Amino acid sequence: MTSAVRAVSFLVPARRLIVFVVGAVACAIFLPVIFSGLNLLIVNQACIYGIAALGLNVIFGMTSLLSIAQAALMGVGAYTFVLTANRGIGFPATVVLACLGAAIVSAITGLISTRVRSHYFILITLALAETVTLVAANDLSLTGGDNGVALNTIPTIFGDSLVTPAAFAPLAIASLFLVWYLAECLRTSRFGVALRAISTDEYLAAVSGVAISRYRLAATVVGGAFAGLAGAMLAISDAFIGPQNFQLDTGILLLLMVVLAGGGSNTGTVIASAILTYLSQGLLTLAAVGELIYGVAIVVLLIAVPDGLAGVGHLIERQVRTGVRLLTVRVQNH
Amino acid sequence: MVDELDVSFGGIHALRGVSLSVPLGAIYGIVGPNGSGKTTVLNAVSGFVRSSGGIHVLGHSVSRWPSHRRFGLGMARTFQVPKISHTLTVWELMRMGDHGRRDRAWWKETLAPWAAAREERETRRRVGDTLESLGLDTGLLDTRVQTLAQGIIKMLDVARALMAAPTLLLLDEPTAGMNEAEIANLAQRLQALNAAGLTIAVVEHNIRFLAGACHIVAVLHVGRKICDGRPEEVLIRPDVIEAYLGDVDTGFADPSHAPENQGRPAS
Ligand SMILES: Nc1ncnc2c1ncn2[C@@H]1O[C@H](COP(=O)(O)OP(=O)(O)OP(=O)(O)O)[C@@H](O)[C@H]1O
Ligand SMILES: [Mg+2]
Repeated sequence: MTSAVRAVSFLVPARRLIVFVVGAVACAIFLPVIFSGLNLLIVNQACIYGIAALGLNVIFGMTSLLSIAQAALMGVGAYTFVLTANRGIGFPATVVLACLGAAIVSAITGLISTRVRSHYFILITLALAETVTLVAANDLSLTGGDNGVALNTIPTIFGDSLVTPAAFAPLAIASLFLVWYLAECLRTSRFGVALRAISTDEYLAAVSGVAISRYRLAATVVGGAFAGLAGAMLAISDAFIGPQNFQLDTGILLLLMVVLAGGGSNTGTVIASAILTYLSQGLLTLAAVGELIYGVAIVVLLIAVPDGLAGVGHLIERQVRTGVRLLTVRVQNH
Repeated sequence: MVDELDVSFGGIHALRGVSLSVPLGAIYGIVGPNGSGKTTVLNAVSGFVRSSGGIHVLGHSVSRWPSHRRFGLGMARTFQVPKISHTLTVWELMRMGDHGRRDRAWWKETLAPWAAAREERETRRRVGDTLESLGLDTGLLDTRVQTLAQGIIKMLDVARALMAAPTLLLLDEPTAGMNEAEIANLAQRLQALNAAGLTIAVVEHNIRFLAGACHIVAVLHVGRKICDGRPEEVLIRPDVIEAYLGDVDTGFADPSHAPENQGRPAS
């Protein structure tokens, strides 16, 4: 008995890994069975946005660097992926290049962030977002301008082309879980705690020996790499990319996911990504109304739940605790 | 520790030519009325305010160093009003204190579950020991810091600083917001740490605490040092009493009968 316990006890530190692997396998098998057609497309889209939003959660949710350039960074990753793939570079390497490209561009904002006051950071990201869409739309020889570029050869996994949503879904889901796992490891590590300390009390971070600017930079690099991965995934799923995929409204949508999640919560970010991707796809035909709803939603969110889904979670937890306490008091009194 | 230090904020001179030398192994008290520049001394040593003059920490001249490097030397400090963020739990706060102590690669801790678990076990044990030694409840670990009482937060701030295993500890009014028992406990604990080799510089208003715990006391008044020396000599000097209280004479001259927090509004 005890030896059996000892035999499996080495797994305890890996319980998070096990949970994520089991979750990923289960979702990769069952989601494509449950959903089909448009709904499966939305699942794939939610995974892609979820990856990008998890990256933004590192930058904004944990480090409080307010960025609206996450969609543009996805764009950097997507173009890097397609352009290198179309020049004959093999499939996994192109994804690595996409992550690297987006991470480097993101690092530029991180470097600048150490020079400016925090509220100017959003202006830098706005400039970056505009630059990326302008280059994408106007550099005809490289990016194909407004017409975009097609991915010439669709990558395959185990000989299966990823062109159909059903074939792509397992890859998208597995990638989301991988990034989610990495982000969760990061959040609970000494590094992640330091990021959160920086975002709320720079003095506390400094007296703990945290090199604030280096950590900010690291956060933008990690967040950018996740965006690059999301961009590559988008390029695979659509087999085509254009500037319209990476515009400011997508950047704001991603930001909204992180705001809705609240408190730097990764799980909240994934849930918010699913909800908001579904809503935004549903509202696609009513584009103008959709934007209006975003605007109103942001305001309502910030007023109603300043701590986002995580805040709602704590609220519920507190209510339940109070309820339990009241119950136990009543039981004791009887 | 500091040498001919000048600090000014837009024309207001917060410190003028202040020199303080904290001997290794001492408990060094810094006293003075409100606004006399005590916190500013600690901020200059921390690298939070621009200053001219020399700053020496544990054998290094650090006046041009960024804050995080200074605190990498084995110095730790607490805050007069800990602005501890609402998202951090006690456990996370303690890990912040522990942050600089490790030189293990962060990615290993982040990505290798077994390394992370080993490190967490070790840190939890140290956190438990530290909290216990300060008489804090180890069951608080998952509580959000902000929900706790001020006295406990101040004590946690000290615990956080101790987690760095410092050789020089700077404390900014640690007893403010604490009750009698907490103050006595803190004094006792600091003396024990000092006996084990920790050098402590403490900004304080509480005369009984100072007289009981400090080996040397320096008195600041409107940005200047007016004197320093052994507490039983310094705290009865007429110029010190006048600086502190204007011309009131109370039981202040006799440290053992001094009321707590004399001459100081709650802050
Ligand atoms: N960041 C700042 N900007 C402008 N003035 C400041 C700043 N910090 C301190 N001062 C001023 O410098 C002077 C010294 O302040 P300091 O906080 O060092 O006093 P203190 O001795 O710690 O007082 P207390 O007992 O109230 O904590 C005060 O006049 C204060 O108003
Ligand atoms: Mg002060």
